[in-house]
Amino acid sequence: MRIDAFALRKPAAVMGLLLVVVHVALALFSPWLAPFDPTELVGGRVEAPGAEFLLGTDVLGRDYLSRLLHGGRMALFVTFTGVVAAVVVGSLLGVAAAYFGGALDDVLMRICDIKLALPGILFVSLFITGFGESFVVLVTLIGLVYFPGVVRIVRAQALTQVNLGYVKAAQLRGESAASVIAREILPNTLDVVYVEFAIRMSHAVLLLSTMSYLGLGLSPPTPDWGLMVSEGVGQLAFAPWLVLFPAVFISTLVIGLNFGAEALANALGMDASRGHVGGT
Amino acid sequence: MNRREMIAAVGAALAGLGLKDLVAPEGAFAQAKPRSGGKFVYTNLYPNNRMGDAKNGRHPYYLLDINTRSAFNGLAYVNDRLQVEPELALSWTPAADLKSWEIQLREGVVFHNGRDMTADDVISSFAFHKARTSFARQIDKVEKLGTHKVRMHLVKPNSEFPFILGEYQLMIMPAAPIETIGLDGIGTGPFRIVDLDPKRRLVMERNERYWRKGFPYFDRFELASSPGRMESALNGFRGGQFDAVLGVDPGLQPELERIPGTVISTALSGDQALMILPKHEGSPFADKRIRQALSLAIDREKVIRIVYGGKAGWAGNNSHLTPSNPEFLPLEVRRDVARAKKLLAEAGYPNGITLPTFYFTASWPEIPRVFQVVSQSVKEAGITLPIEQRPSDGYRDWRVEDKAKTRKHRFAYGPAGVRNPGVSMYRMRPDNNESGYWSGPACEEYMKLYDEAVVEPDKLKRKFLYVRMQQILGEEVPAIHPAGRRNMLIHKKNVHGLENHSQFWSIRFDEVWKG
Repeated sequence: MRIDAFALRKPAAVMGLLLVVVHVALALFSPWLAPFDPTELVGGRVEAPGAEFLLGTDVLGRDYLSRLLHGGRMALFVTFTGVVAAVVVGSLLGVAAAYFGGALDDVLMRICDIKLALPGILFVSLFITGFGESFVVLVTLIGLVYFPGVVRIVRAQALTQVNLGYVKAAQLRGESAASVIAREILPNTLDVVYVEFAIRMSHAVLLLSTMSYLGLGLSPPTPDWGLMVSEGVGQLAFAPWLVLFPAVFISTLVIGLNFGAEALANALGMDASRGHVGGT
Repeated sequence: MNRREMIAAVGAALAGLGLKDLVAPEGAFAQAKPRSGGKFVYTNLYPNNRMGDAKNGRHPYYLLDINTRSAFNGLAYVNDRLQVEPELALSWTPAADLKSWEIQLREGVVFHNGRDMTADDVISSFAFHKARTSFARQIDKVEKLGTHKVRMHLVKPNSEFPFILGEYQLMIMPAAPIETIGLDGIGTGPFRIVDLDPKRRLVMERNERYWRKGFPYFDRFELASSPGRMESALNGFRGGQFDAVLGVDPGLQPELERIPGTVISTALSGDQALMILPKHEGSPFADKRIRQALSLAIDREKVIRIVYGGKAGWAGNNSHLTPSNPEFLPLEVRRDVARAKKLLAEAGYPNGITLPTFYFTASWPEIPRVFQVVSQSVKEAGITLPIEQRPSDGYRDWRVEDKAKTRKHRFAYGPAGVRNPGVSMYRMRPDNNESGYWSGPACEEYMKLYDEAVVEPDKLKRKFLYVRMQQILGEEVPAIHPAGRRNMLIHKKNVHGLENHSQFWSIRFDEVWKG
């Protein structure tokens, strides 16, 4: 894997990576940075930003800054865990489908087709209605939503590898299928996997925010940006900052992840918008 | 020009400039004679789940709930003080045993299709209702005593039977076979249906033959249904698209008071949040002391202040009754953290207790806020109350779980509407999920008092029985009712005669007019 360091120095790349780093740092250190417990009722309802509460209070009188800082923690933790699950499972299945082909490939691809044919929001609604809104359910859901895409992309990349000489050589040396996959094919699909991960992360942050906004995501009183937008919408005309602040946090994280994914793809010589290796 | 003429001239000039509020308070101009004609457009934020499976939206069982009474009438009407008054009935007289009720019908009432309403229509309508709703199943048969007189025979005595006749689905429709009755949307109400786009829009026109002479005032009546879409409703209101918004989130009262030209109408009460406490083996709520501790730990005042802006809410008393009910008995002690801690210690939890997850759904916009405040407030008593929101679809069945086998069910929220005590107090019966399948000597005493109340013709004696029943619920805490809403609507200043109601389905539009 060759990395083009120049691509990572472009202004958009620097800005994207900086935004991601800032968000991750805020999320990691939020327990120390947040002035109040994010669920504690510390002030009056809907207080405007001021000296005591820097970003005001929400409809229940909770410190908005503390909730925003903790909100990133949950958004990143849930989406990171879910996307890691999707990428790990999707990559293994994608490589296995490409390597073994035949019935396994057919079955896996049809499962992916069925999943991809289902409207996303319908799948999410059915899943949440059936299993609830706990952390484990949300992580599983994000994993299920994104793994078929990863399977297809990784399979496509792996198919370009399975007939190459070094793979044939390994097979002729008598290496087991697991060994060929783990030592020969997977390392050569990692660039695709990294970019997939970055792209899916930004999608997952938006998905989780949308779900929370629709009442299908994290449950109150968990601080979550999508949920905060949803709670603030009723107050839009009276206290617009209740929608504005979480929207800014969601946007900057998603922009950062998108720029980061684009930069990573460029550095690896890929086309992030298509999610696969470019032709140069 | 003398002083009086001068004041009158200045007043007239300011009124002409739209500054009438400077010279006369709201109401002074409203005393003017009601004006007929024009159009009234409003939006309704209340959900109507029945529209989902409607085969014909015009039927009173599917017509947007709150509008049933615009197209139809019942035999009775329940006003906001929860008093029942005759509507298509002129009067009712019970037999001594309260098992049959003689009902004199109003004469001269005409359906939208021009046909007279008679006893045959009442008999046909109730034949349908008996098959379709539990409210009417207590009616054994309806006997015709004359063209405008019927006798209703009940399965069991019921001292509050006229309230049943005021239920919003039990409307009177032109006689027809049970398969087709009501499908044409023809009633005796103040407006007749012109166009209905289920779930979205309803257009009605004045019923010129309405039995209440001189009413309604509007020529045309339009509803845009926007369940839960508070912001779009308020935008439509601010932009002049709507004359009124019904079912406004009561928590917005402080903010709405700041919108110029807006009149807020709050009912005496409205739905309340019910915490259903499972009492099956292994549930912590099988121990009365834990139920009592949880009830005493909840800061009801805080819920009202934070969630309902201090004005648009009320504290529940662990019964289904509300401040609209004259029988309502406020809790003697609303909060006592020290006693809650003591009760927990006696129950074996001196260091506090972590309760099972409490589930709720946002059937009203403020419900998630209610339980977030509840969950925070009980921490002070050492109670950890994890909460989780669930989707609305299928919530009730999910909540009740396997009722038939073990009566096991979830620690969860249920909405409780406003009705007369005969209906409301029955909801805490032992075989109902809302009571958490309560049992024991106190429950037996409660049901004994209930049986006495339903056959007690004297209103005062009945009230005494209901008070005693509320005391039992306050002491035993089979379920917890932390707080309830006061239904809220807003309208433009030039809208007159629009009054809110604790039963949102009972709002009447007959006497509404625009100045």
